Amino acid sequence: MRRLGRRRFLAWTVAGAAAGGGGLLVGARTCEGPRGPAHGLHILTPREARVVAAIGDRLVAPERAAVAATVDAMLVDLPASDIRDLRRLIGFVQRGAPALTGHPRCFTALTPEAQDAVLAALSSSRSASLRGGFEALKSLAFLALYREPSTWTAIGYPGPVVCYAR
Amino acid sequence: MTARPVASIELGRRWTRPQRLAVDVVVVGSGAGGAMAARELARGGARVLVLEEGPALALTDMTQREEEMLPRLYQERGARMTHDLAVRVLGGRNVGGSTVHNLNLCKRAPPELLREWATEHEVAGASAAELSPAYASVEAELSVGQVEPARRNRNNALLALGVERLGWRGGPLQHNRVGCQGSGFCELGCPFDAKQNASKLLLPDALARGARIVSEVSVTRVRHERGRVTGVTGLSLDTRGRPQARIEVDCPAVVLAGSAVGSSVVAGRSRLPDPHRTLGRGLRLHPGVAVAGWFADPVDAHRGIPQSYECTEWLDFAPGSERRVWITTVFAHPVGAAALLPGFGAWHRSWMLRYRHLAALTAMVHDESSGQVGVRPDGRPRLDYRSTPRDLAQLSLGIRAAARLLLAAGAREVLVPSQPPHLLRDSSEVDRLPPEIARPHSLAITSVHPLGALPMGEDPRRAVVRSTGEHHQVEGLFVLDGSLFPTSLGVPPQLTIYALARHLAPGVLARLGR
Repeated sequence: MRRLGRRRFLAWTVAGAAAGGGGLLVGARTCEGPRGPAHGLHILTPREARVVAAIGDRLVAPERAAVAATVDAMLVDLPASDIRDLRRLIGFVQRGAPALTGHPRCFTALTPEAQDAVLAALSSSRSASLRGGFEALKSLAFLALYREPSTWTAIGYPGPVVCYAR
Repeated sequence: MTARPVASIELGRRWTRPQRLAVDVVVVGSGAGGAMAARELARGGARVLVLEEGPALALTDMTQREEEMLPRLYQERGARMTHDLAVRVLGGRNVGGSTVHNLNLCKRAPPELLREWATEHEVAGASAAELSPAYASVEAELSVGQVEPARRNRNNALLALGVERLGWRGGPLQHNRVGCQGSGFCELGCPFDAKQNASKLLLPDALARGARIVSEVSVTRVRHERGRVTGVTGLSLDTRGRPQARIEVDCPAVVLAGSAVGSSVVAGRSRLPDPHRTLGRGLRLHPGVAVAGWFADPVDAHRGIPQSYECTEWLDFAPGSERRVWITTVFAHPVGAAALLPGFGAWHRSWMLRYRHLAALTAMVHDESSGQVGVRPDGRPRLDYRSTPRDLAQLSLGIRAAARLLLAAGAREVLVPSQPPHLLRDSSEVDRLPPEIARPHSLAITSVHPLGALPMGEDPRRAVVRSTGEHHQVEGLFVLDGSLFPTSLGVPPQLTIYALARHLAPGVLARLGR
């Protein structure tokens, strides 16, 4: 594993995440995973989007959310350095993080249970950078989920009291 | 609804070509300190130019949607972190600064703390008695008053109940709000214009008195020659916050009022004389942690006035105090709540499904830890802050106290959102919380009151600016915001920032010969 950036799992999510800082390249050819959004992406490559989608699937389970599309849209307004950091983080989760739980395979090739174990390992890592990266991904995933009014009824949240044309 | 101040505010995004201006004084930042300074200086006859990095928002921009408002209202989209990723630091980035998103708490600085400023930090002229006229003036202008118990939402009522049952010290809080609808979205900006704040009251008054206010201009540095201010250099920003044109303003005085972080960054980029290496040091964060309680009946903490009651049982300001924890209520809308709850997947979802039944308290530490504001290579702030063991012990004390309050109020279960999380069902389990519950990085720690870093005091070896707010080495450079504080405040700071700016503004006018 290449050196993880001391800081900066970047700071850009609406809920307090900071992401980035990983070190490995994203999406080796042997790491094809579940299909993710391939069209309409602004920043993420299709491979990166598939990794983000796989991470998001586990974070918001048993719910479903368009995590990759949300992340991609948010990246549009961010400085290049922050985008680079996020790319490194995605790459690390895909190629490096499974080793934290003894898995030699890519994240997208793991079973859901094994993916959960990898994410749990990230969340409790001794590395502040890895924990920060996990929190970033988590915040983005839940942003993608709970920004949707369709999710509010189940948790009893009535939503805004003002309504403007959108 | 009107967009009262916005209509007269000039938009930096329209400054697509280089500009050169000349005024008497530039005010950098438009929050509590900057708005008050601008109004007072304009009232004194000075030609005032306010430069604000963030946008000017109309009431109709306040959509109450988290994903839209947090990027609009907060620095770094609400996700600014200390360099070690241990503390999230929130600050405003729009016309009106943090007064647009804060929860309207108004509390004077404790007199014993102001005595400490005088005796330990050589701050002159800022005793409780000397600040009292400024406080009174601000309180009157901002319509500061107590929230009536009948308007207390259940989250706050539960805190009051816990305080009562434990026999602890607590009481209602004072606010600056008029016409509040109780929608509960204060942290996302008020679409009902109920906040009696900088953008509603002071900036329009400053405009009426001839001040110019320009949004979307980032001041990069203060220019100075031979110990005197000569102006500022900045950049206008486009709608996406990207630099577009160079702005030069010639002026004999500059007021830094961009918050403890923003003012320190501008100062740090300005190559100011710093013979005693004080610049940027002394950052206080008033760090806080949240503890949640699950109740049988709905709490609906997202509704109503978010914070209207406090517990001060564990807060006193005696020197060397081991009771430095202020406790009040806290809550978030779904996106924020989901980010704060620990874990993920089904376990996390099970807690989100209890959303209506959750109450939450925050315990903030009147911190003695001293951090530093620096400038990263890309020009953004770098915040270095490490809690002392004594402060971590206070944080731990606060977690335990908050848990006891929630249990006393009837919580079925209390969630300490640590890594790993702790679930508590009675007070004996609070006793068994591990001592290291508040170790760095084990908790989501948030700072909503960053202070200090350009502290005032008469001793230039310890302070960046004099008690007048003027830089020790550079004539005409003033600081009139929370950067001035030589210590943490231990209470919400907005009232003291307004009051100090009002108290010290005459000194700026005097420097201008007015």
